Amino acid sequence: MFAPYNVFFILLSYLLLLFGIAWVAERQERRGRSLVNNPYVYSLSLAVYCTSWTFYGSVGRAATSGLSFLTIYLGPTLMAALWMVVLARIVRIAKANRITTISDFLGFRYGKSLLLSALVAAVAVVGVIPYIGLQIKAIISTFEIISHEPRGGAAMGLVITLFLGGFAIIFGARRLDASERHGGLVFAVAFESLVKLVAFLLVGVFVTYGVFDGFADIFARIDRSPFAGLQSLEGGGETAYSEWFALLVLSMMAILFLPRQFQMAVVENCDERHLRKAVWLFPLYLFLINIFVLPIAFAGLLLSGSPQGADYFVLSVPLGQGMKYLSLMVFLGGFSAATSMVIVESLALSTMAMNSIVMPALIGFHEHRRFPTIILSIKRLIILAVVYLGYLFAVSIGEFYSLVDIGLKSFEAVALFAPAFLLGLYWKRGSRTGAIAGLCAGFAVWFYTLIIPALFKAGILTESGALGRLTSSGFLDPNALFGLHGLGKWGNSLFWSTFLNLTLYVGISLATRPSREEEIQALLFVESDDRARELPLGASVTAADIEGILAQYVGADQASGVIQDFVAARAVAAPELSVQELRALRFEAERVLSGAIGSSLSSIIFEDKLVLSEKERSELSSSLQQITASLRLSRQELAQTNLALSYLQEFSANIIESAPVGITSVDSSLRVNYWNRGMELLAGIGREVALDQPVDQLLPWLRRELILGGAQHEEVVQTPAQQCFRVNVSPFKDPSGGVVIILEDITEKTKMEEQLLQASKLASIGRLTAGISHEIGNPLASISSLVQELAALDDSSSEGPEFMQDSLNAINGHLERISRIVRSLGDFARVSTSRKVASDIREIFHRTTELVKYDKRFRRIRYQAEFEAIPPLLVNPDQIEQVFLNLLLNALDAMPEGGDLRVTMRRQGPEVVVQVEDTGRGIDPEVMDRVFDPFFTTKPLGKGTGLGLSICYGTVRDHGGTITIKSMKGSGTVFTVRLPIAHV
Amino acid sequence: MQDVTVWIAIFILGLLCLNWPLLGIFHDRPFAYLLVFWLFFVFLVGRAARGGKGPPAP
Repeated sequence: MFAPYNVFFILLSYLLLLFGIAWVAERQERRGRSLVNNPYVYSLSLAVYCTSWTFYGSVGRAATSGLSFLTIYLGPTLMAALWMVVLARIVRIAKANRITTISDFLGFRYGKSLLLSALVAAVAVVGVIPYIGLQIKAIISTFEIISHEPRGGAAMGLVITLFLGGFAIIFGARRLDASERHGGLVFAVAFESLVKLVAFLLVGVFVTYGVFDGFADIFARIDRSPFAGLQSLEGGGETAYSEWFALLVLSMMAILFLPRQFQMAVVENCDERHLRKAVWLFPLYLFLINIFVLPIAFAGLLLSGSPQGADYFVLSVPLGQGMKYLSLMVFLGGFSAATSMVIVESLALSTMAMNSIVMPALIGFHEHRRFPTIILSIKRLIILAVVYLGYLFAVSIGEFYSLVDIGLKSFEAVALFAPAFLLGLYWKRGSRTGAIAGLCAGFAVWFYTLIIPALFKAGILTESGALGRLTSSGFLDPNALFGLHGLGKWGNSLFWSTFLNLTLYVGISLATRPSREEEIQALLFVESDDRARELPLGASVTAADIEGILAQYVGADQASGVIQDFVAARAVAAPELSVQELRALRFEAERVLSGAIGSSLSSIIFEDKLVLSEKERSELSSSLQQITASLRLSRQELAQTNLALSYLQEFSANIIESAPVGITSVDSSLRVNYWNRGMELLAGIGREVALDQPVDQLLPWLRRELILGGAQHEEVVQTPAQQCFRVNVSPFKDPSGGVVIILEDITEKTKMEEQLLQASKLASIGRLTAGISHEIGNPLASISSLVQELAALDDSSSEGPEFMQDSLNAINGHLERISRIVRSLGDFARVSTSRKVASDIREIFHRTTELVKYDKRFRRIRYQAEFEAIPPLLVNPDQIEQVFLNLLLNALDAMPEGGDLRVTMRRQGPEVVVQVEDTGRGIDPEVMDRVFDPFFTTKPLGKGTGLGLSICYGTVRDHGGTITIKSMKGSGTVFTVRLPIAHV
Repeated sequence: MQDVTVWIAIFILGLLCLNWPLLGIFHDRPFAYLLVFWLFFVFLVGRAARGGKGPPAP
């Protein structure tokens, strides 16, 4: 197929590509354009969980044991639902204390215990190195398969192993501070997650739809084969049930406690908010990478007729079908799954071993001039040692075990951390002694039930020895410890290790009294109380002391940089720092040192150097008691506040739900996240349908510009179905965006307003009737007279034709005048709409004046108009005409004997001001406040409806303007109308 | 607090639906059930993450 050197060259090229990707990502990070700081890369980086075990081993497991392989991915899927509760808390604590490993986390939690920290590190190293070996084994085996070279795989594996160690050093251990994020490494891992997913999906599609005719075909064929039982849940026996549950629990623990998962999920987390996307993106990734596992396993069984070599069906099936390049892609997918795990795991384990085992041993040499360089070199050596140990495992013991078997042993090992870790987050009584005892007991069970049998199988131990006799006794059978059968191999180990671990942890914690140090740390972890952080900081220290201590471990340059950054941020010289600032500086220095040598050790170093006085120790004890007491009170207050808050929440929810208007809130992409009952009724769209949908698709008549209009605003919108809504849009103050939209159905109200306006118009026409009848009556009388004269005209008269022509011209003139009056009235009386259009307000006023001029009272008026240039206004012309008409008719009513009527129209800032001023009898000051009230009139019964000024007021207000009145009894009245100049 | 309750409720639902005795109902053909429930669970977690309080996803 492929020559070995070709495959080797391809692998090296892939690794170089990986180097390039990591380098680019780091460079972008340095330039402040991070490629890593987004939830998608974070979610993909968590997929480092999917190793060569997933890529190859799952198919192997499916071909031999059926569906139980799924538990390894269903467990993390379930656990993801708790990430916002548990993982978010871990991230917060780890960031606050610059914690970089699980061992550091546990050691720091239990009174900064170096012993516990070292134990956890040792368990992790022993438990996880075989898992690294598993990856290298997969690389070697698949290299041999694709190159048809049964020898040489081991040598190639060694070279690749060293390359991976080099990658971890360059992108993970270039500096001493382990708490800083490794953008290049994370981006490379995210890239590899994509490669392995695409490769697996490609081979899955090929096998399922290229070699067979889809899922149904493969499943039907396997039904007719000797492997039909694989489709069910392993025969449904008692063991199958308990083992399913055990594997589910194991994988739930693994996703939290595997060192590489802690590294990616906690240490490399740039933003806690990324968890919100990762909780569903990561399980989706697991789902996708598992869809084709069963079809490929069944295809391998059907094609080869045996489960032998099932671990590599993913590669051997396309190879057997002659798909050369697809096989190469699959090989690279498996390679990427293995490499990302080896790189991240070796980095995480080396940090753990360095901070928890090596540093405490070396700390005595900290006064050596090149101490920081030495410890950095040691860390790099540990990385190489970890990958090399993995390699050794792969070429010695690894061949005796399947990929899944090795992986599950590691899962069992890290599950030992669960009781002390999880209970330590929520239970203050958990003690250091209890955690150590529980861990030791759990580890002993793990070693006895899983590792001893493995050593027998590999021939390292012989069954004829004392250990062999012990394990073959019924009571201490590693697969059924203490004679308990039915749990299965994994269930048995998990049950007994957890049982003893938990019992000792809880029992000893309850039986012993925690030390002062443990109490402080418990406050810090369980209550997240920052006051606890300051408790041991009582000693008198100077900035120079702190710099001196820091310099011994991280180098003089970095130490000086930390101090300088600190004082620069506070704009004060180092010797002038206050006691509070010195405390903060010490905490900052401790954080920096934690990144380099671990949290527990860095705290201990500072406490050793800055010894507390007796007085300070006494103050510390009383402060601790005070904090504990105040926490108790705080909890009570919190409970009361919670209750009040719940009541308020329910109260406001009820109001919003029962409001007679439609209320919806949308996010910045206009997707609905709230839809009240009123909205359901108005839009005719149920809440379930509406949620998460774009609001401009649900309500297409709601324009995007209207919703995204910036500040709070309101507009009346008419739907194609002639419904009228008043739409109020208020943006959220939250920077993430979104708006609240309130919809009020004003269809009925608008109709009533239109009817009212119409009635008002008719009333106005009534008021004009007298004057207009006169205007029509005069020409009619003239026409009548002329017609009579024409009738009596003598045909023989010589003046006849000329007279006839003159008379007809006069009649025509009169008729045109009548026609004009009737047209004006008709125009005015027509049914108006509620639409606003850009209009010339002077032209509207002119039209209104023309109508009023027909009133005979107008002849006694001295009319004067002064109009400035006015831009077009967005108004309803019919409504504004009615306003002007009411004002003019009121002026005429006020001046029955004649007078002056002055109308001015001018622009004043963002408004147009129209003033109608008469010299009539004026208005009594007592009734001035009521003139705009509906049905209020000062006119005699039958002369006025009392609605004119009320309609004027409503109309002007609807246009966003104001109408005011000034009047003096006997001197006249001035109405002032102000209308806004909107952008038309 | 309400947020925490929702997450715990979803977790417990998943734990119940992916274990016996419920899993026993689909004993002979569990693959399709597991895949469908898996997707449903992802959807449920996604909805809870979108609708939850606290800082929204960027």
